[in-house]
Amino acid sequence: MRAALVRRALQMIAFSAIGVLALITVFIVREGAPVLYKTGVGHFLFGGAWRPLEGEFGIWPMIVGSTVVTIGALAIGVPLALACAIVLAELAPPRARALLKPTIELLAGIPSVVYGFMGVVLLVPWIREHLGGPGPSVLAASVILGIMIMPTIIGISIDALQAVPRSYREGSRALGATEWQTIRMVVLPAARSGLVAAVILGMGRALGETMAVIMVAGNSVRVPHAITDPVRTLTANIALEMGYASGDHARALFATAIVLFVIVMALNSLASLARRRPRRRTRRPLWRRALGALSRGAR
Amino acid sequence: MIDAPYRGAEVGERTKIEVVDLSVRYGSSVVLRGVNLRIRERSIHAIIGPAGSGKTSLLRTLNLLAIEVDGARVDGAVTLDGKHLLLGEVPLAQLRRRVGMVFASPQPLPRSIYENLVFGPRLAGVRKRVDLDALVESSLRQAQLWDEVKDRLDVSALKLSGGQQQRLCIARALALQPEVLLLDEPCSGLDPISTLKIEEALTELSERITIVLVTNNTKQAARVGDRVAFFLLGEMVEDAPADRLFTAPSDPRTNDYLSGRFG
Repeated sequence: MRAALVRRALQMIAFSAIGVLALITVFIVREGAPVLYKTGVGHFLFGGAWRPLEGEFGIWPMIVGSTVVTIGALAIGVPLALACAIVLAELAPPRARALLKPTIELLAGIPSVVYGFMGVVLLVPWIREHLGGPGPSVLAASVILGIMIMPTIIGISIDALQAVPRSYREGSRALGATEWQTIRMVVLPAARSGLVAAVILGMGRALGETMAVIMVAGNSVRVPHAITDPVRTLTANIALEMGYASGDHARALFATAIVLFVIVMALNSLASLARRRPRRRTRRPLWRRALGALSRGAR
Repeated sequence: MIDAPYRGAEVGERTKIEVVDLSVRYGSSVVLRGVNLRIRERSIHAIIGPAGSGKTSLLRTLNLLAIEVDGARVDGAVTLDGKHLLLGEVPLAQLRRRVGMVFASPQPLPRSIYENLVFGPRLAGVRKRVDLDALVESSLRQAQLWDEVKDRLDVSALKLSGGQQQRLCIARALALQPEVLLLDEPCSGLDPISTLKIEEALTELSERITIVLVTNNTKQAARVGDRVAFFLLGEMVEDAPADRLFTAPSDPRTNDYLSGRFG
């Protein structure tokens, strides 16, 4: 009787969490859809002019902004994070790992405003002095985001690497491979799907980050032409203007949120797909794999 | 030679591997204590004993895989053709090529059959496709697997049956053309037919290479072993030609184990 009650209560709580999520989705779509309809999806996505007061809503500069900043963040964060994960999972002595892994996880808990602050105080002036431009820029945002996504990527990558059976490593070592050859030729390929998932989740994090980006990106609504140009991301667009927006302007911001929502959802499903996918046993050309996936889907 | 009373006495008498006063411990637990063992060239030396007797640790010391475990400590001496392994007289990669190993559960890499077989040779510097192809065929033939897989070498090794995977692992070790082959219970979990095939392969191989076979199956030791060593709780109790160990063991503990009183 009591157990049933507890179970019911827990179920309610669990479902309410999902319910809130569903409500948010419905709300965003309801608020944003009219503007999308009025402006036209194509014009809204690819329009170059964002003049909310004149009723012109084109978010192309922000889409480009989010994209380049995210790519930049990945270019900086992924190699460092993967290298770090390899060292921690494979090479470091257990004691060092026991110390470093929690430290890195702690890094994920630092508020983003602190990262942004470091960017404003240290990085932005440095860029202005040494590379030119106003300072707040694609580069600054990429560097800060690259650092911010590292804990996510490192954590998941370590789990993926440690999930590779010890037998693979021993088999390889017993065949005369060195430690590094074993990592490169056996462990990394076997952990590939987990590593891909780690990168995609890091990408989602970079795409969704707002505060740190606002502080260092410059936020001007223009398609950037150099990495020292200021840039505005989709998230920054919403956060900066929501405070004073009303009417169609507010709805356009909700529509921006829809776009962001769809992109992040797509990335997350991609990540879980990469994780769940059975490991490839043999190498097949990409097009054959795609064909195989299609035919499996059709069945 | 003709009058040799036991089978074990007639095979190659030259020492291939010598183990002197070997002790292995992982952290605070001692798994092997004061082991002395001489392994003769071109023979099958079977090692039997209950779980936890240190058989596997001995095997993993012979190719120095044991020292890679965190917290492992190995004392004593192990020589391969007179070279001291624990003193690093044989470079590690070279040692692993000369002393091949097959594990208890088949451990193919998640690649194609072909890629599994050429993994070692490629690392050893064999690059030419014809050479690799020849190695693949000859090692698969020696492991009695060629006829079953020759038409599907590009299929994933993980698609093979357990017995085939284990023979693939033997072939993979053979592709390096080793002088010694270490096998750690290669037939545990395999059906009798696969076991028979592996035993046939081993007997044939022992004409050219030295084999150390750890097995839980005393009958298997009797079938293929030239000499048999009995291990118990980290110590070597007895080492004798196969026929004598099974018919007239000199240590009562061996007798107890063989007659099924424990283990």
